[in-house]
Amino acid sequence: MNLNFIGLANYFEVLKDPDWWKAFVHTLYFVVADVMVGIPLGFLCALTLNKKYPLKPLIVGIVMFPYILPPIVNALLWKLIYNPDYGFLNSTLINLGLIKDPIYWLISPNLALIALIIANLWQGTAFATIIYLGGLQSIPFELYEASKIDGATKRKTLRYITIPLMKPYTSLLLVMKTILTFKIFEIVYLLTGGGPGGSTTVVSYQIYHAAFEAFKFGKASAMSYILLCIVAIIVFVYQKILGSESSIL
Amino acid sequence: METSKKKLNKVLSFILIIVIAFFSFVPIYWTFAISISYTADLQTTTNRWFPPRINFNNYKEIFSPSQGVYSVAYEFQRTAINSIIIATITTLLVLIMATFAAYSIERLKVPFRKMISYFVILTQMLPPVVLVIPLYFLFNNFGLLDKKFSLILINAALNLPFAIWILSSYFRTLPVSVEDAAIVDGCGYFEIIWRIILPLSKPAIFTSGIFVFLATWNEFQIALVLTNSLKAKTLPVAISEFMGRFLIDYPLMATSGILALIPPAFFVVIFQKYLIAGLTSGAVKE
Repeated sequence: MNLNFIGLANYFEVLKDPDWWKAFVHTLYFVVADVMVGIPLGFLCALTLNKKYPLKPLIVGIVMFPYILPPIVNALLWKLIYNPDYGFLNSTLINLGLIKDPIYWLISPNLALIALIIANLWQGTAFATIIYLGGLQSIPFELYEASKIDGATKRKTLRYITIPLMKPYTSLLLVMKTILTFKIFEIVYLLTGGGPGGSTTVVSYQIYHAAFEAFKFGKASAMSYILLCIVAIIVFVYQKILGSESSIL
Repeated sequence: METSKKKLNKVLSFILIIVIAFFSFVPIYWTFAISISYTADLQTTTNRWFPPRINFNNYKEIFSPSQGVYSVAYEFQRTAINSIIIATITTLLVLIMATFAAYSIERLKVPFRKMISYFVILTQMLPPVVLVIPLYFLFNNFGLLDKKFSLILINAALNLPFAIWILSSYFRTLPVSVEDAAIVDGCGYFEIIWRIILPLSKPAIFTSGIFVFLATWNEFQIALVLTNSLKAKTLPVAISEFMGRFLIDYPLMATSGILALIPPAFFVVIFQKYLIAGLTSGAVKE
């Protein structure tokens, strides 16, 4: 392959490209949903699951499934769920009498992005639940005993013992989820291919498309480098804000 | 009064637990239900949760040996074997390298070891798509495209940091005095690792092994770009192709997805505790 150096032209082209920024904003939606919804929801699930009840190992195992399954299988599951004709979602909504005609989840520009965010959130919440479950199990039992003897209510125990002790895990999740969600690719690649009309493109997909479908390797490489810088900056900012609580770096 | 309230709380929280489990499981159940349905039934009866007729033909078809070279069954079998080979060798390779690396970082006074472990974790942050373009050209130049070997190499490189991270945080908790005694008795470093560190670190080695295997089994993006024939194509890539090619045959597609889930499911069922401990160990400072 012959390389002609053209300086920073590719970078300027990317930065001036409205599609790039659109893809970036979409990626941010995924990240924000995973952080703002996935983390609190995961915490609540972990609190609920961290008790004594019959079949606990089985149920914890089931809850781990979404996190552990291959992302490509996750995409496949949701493709079957969102299928307009015989997908689980439409069947259920019709059964419940909430809608009459099937909804075309992945074909309508307004719905497609939300549908993908929910599919991604399903996996993301499971991840948060598992991390918090591990965290909750590490809290010494005596701490709860002591607070019970001191007459603390359940709410107070949660607020003054559980939540502060979970802070390192929350920081860890913030960093990990941001990094992980910035990588999102499979769901977009398989469910919508960035469509309809570019309404669901994310950064990873755009880079893949530019390089291996449009064969603009220069532009795609520039995109990769810009993405790398953005992720590095975000992680750096997290580290500054959270200090040494998360030892991921 | 007090006890009945407690009882109610217990019932309510158990219902909540069931709801959480339900939401985690429904997509998987639904896929399984489709995989054992007849395509005709899918199109005619919309409003149902259970397949009206059960059909295991898809599973039989995928495992049947007497199929043409271009059949789904053939592609599934070949790519599943590729995936098993790639994931197994990667796991072994990573475990060997990570044990030595983690031991060195923890026990030997290597210069810049703190910085080395930082850099090791930094690679974990890279979105794979960033690596895919340079890797494609590099491997193209060396004639390494479409080879199992290249996927093993990349997956090993990508997963090494996490394995080192888990192992070194575990080694840190092992008492140094035993090793010191062994050194006094004339043991070398290899002997210490083989006779003392490895037997003591079984849980950590299990955990990191499972994580590497799962990550390699699940990896899609890099395999998508670097492979194009059945020589090296992995199962996730094959599934993505099934989804593009067989738009009509939903049951067969669902079957391949369910089968790809078996190794991860196996690990979850058997090593659940290790997995939860592994995700949080080392990740959070004591």
